[in-house]
Amino acid sequence: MGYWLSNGSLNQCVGSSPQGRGLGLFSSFARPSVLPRSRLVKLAWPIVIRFAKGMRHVDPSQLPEPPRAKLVKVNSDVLVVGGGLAGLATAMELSKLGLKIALVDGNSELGGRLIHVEGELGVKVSDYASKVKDELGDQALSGVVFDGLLEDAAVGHSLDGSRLFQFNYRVIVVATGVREVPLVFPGNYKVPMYTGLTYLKLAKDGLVKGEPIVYGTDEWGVAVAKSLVKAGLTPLIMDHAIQPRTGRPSDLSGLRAIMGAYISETEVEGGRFRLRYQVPEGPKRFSEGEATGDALVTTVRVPAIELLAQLGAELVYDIVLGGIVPRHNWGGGVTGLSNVYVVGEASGLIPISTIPIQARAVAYSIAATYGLVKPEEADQAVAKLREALVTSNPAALDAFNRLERGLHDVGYFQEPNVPEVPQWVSDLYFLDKADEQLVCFCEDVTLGDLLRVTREFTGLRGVKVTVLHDEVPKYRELKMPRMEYIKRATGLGTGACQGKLCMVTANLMLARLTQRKPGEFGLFRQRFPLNPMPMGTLGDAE
Amino acid sequence: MIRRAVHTVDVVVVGGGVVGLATAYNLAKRGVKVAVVDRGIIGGGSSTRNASRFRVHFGNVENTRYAIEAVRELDRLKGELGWNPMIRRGGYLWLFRDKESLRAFEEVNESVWRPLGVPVRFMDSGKLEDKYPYLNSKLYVGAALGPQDGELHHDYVIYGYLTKLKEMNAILLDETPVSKITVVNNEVRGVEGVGTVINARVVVITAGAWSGELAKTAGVELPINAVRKEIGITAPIRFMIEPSLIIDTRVNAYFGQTLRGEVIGSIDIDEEAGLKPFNNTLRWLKAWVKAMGEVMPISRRLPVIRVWSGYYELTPDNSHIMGRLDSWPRGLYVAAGFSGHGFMFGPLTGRLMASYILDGKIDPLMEPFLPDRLVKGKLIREHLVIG
Repeated sequence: MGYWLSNGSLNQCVGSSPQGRGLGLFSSFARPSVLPRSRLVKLAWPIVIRFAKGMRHVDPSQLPEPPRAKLVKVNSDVLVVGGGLAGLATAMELSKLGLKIALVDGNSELGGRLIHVEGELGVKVSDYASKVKDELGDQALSGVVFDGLLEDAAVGHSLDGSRLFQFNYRVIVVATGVREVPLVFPGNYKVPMYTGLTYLKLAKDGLVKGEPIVYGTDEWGVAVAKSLVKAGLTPLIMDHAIQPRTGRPSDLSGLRAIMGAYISETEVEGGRFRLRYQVPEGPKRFSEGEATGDALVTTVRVPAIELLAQLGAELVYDIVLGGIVPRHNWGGGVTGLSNVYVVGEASGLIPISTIPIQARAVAYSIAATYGLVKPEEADQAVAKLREALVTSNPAALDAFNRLERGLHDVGYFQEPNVPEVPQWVSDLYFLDKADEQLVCFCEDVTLGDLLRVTREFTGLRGVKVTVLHDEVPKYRELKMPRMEYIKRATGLGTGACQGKLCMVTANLMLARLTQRKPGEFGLFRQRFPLNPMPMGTLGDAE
Repeated sequence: MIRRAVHTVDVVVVGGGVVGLATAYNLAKRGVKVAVVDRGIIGGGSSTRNASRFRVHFGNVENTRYAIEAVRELDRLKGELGWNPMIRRGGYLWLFRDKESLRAFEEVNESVWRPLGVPVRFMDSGKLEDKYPYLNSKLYVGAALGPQDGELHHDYVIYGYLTKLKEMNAILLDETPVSKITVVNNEVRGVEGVGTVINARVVVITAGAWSGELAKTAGVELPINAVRKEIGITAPIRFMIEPSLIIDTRVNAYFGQTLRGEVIGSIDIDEEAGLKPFNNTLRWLKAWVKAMGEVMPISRRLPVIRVWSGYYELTPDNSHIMGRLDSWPRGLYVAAGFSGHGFMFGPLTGRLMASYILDGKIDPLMEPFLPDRLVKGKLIREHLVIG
């Protein structure tokens, strides 16, 4: 629809996608890559301005009046951000070692994502949750979002806006887990798209039924599909990998599945939609097919790194770990910052079974700095984690080893290219439909916009996918625009989600399409607050 | 081994904000080979961290006259740069809680603004209530609306200059901090930075808050102090705040709404000077949202989605410095110290600086702001600094 006409919200809770292209002609002018440079818009500016004024946005009187807020100060040795498996396990270990812990989680109930698929994954998160609640008492804060750091305070607020929290801590553990991100394919704005977690909740409450298409075949995706089957739905599972990403073809038994499929086109008919897809079968050979469904469920996850970015941890791309993750340094600060540790899937997509072991390694590393355990014990805990990773996912261990800061301070780390199509995008097969692929759902920024802006900043005529011999040095010399430029030029990541759903996607897609390293584009700054916070809540609390 | 890139140009502009880019653009247009160097991303300092508003109303004749021409220059840019600066003249609405400050404002209106043809319109609290029902008008004894003032899209102005400079094959180096200005025999020879050497006989310092530090490397003292200012923005709401900026003159808080619907604003909290990191503080945030709640009660409901900070580069009289002194090394020029109103002055400053450097022409508008005023003590005291 175009950033200036965007209504700024893809409401995932009700599954409504942005309205169709009702404004026709306007919408192509409103594109972030067109509007600022269109001669016509410039000429007609006095008229355009009347349309541009905050179109379609909510009237402030429709927003809820926040209650009178109280200020609550929470003191602890260690603050754990995130109450999923990783956060809970770490909090429990630390608490057992005698440290004072506070734990915050934005959901009203502790347990994170996994609590909704307990039957499928063999880990009883609810046990952890109830133990932590007993152990920490009112220091286990659910329904409280952590908003991030200001110079003079670390701040959070309760979801109802009635309390503003100020945290004092010496060590912070980031257990923010992963975030399911929207899929990018031609026509992706037309279909009702849900995250796996949201859809599962809706299905369990009986609010949705029918035939959803579940995209993503890793541990989580398969678990979501199976849970949906249990809830009486008939999901279709889909991925552009040939094999399920769990590595075990048997995981898909009993499920309807389409593998190796890149979505090329979308059609909507009534309440249902049809996805056309192509399966590559050789050089320039595709077989085609189509699938219908009434909801598209994305289970594709990227580590939620915005808090780490705000804390100043060094973030790099690693393909095995599922995107942009912090560098590691076992035993010390896991992120290379002295008082910031990361645990669970925020550090990369590792097998769920190894998370409690990782939690112990992190907890012991922290406790060792307090002298509560011997350094050898911490080393042992780390060794256990290595062992567990070797037996379950050696690739993840390799990735962690690569990411250890400077390979024991002597080596050199070369950021990898993005060799594979990121799991959630259709990528370069459908570049001619780049304008139909929405990347930033808050501000309606398409892949086409990103490419046009990149081109403008580098002076490239076209995005070259194949580079000929003589052109290589010249192309290598070109400096890619930082994501900071792209953000300002297109508005990507300036909406309600502040880039949580699109920043990593945009970075990896651009890196892949221009054959550059993700680090050359970088990330834009993650600013306070990490969650929107009513002014009233902030102002009242004394 | 550290590789060094060596460039040779006619003029090197240190600081890729609006002032630097405008200077480089106006030089390049006349065929001069220029390089622009910036320590971070181009336009990533105060040029992107500001509230993107412009005004013609200042506290003295010199600044007001300069601003009137600066706004004309902004308007001209529309046709010249590829990017639309998206100018909207919503006006500045100044709110007064007491009779004295209102009277002082009326005096400036009569003595400065009306003679220069940019008078403001005064209204009492009843009229204020009628026209702007969302304001808590009983707090105020009166208000003044300056309809000549407005807003623009700062990043698009920057990118307009950037793309034009690229087309003219200017050298643009971002993420290249300059460590020193090379001076030989009291004459500048260029600048040096990490991995980069740029040879040039003319160096223009347009480095905003960093200008003082930079000038020191050439043996020049510039009385420019950085003061960190914080600013915040809310989620978009339906467009309702017609004035481009609303200023509560008592608490020195301001806010306005962008064309996209977000409410942007800040408050002055007496931050001490210094190049502090670009962080935010709870102290400021609370002061701002409290003031917002007072001035516009409905803002209690607005969700804050982003806060950031930038620098005001303050001079002793809050007016900018442009030009050079004969006692400085030959070839060294400065345009800095804009004290919070640099973006709107940038395009004009660039044009005047270019003709000053190339032709030695001192425009009458520019004359009061030459650095010799600080030596001679002819200060242009500017008390209308917002936020």
